[in-house]
Amino acid sequence: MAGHARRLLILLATISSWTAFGQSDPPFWRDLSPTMQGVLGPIEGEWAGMDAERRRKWIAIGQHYDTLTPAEQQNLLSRMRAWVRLSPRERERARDRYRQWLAIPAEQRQALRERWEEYQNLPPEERARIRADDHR
Amino acid sequence: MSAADLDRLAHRLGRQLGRGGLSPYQARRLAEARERALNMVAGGYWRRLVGWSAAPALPLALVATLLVVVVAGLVPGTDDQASQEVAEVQPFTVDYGLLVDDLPIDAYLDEGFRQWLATRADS
Repeated sequence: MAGHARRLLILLATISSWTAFGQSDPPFWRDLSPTMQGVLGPIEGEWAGMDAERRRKWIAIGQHYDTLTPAEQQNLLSRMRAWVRLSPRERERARDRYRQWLAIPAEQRQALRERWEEYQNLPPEERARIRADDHR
Repeated sequence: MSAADLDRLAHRLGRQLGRGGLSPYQARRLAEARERALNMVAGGYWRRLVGWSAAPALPLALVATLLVVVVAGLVPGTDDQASQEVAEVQPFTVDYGLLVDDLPIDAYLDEGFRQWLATRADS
């Protein structure tokens, strides 16, 4: 009797401690639906190293996937691949610049896109010179 | 079920639990299972139900707990549960905005582009 009660207590303690651990755990990759795994495929390699907040942010982003056009979906997947390659510092810099440029009116943002393409068409040495000037 | 069988079962369950990897939804279900098992033992539910003495009621409660735990642990959570959790997450507009913006992320990171824009604006 005492042996049974002891074993039961040990088992319940095991479950209890494990449950408490589980409650602070983030969503795991295997918990995602196959559809969500497909959408978040570009960042699967990063998933294990993410904290709960980041994982849930990505799930939230994944849930918007169906609202996008096919072209936008492809663009999103491509951007996700680029995003995971950035360092935390680069991501923060991109966020800061994005916040600054959000204040630009919509019509000027369209012009900004055209300017980017124009800048991309500059000879590589010209772009390198501009960057060098910026560091002086 | 003998005490040795219970030990083996507890060991197997412990190994399974030790692997971790439960979602918050699964963890909640386990917590509910634990609560039910404690109620069984404390309230003598099974003893009153079948008129048994306390001695066989304990292993029976243990087996019931194991069954509930195993079922709760093996049934995967769904995106619906994840959705409820995500609904509580703070806005993600900046990251999402960057991912779907007209401008590629490189445009935001390229200091030369920013400088070039400033030069053009001045001229």
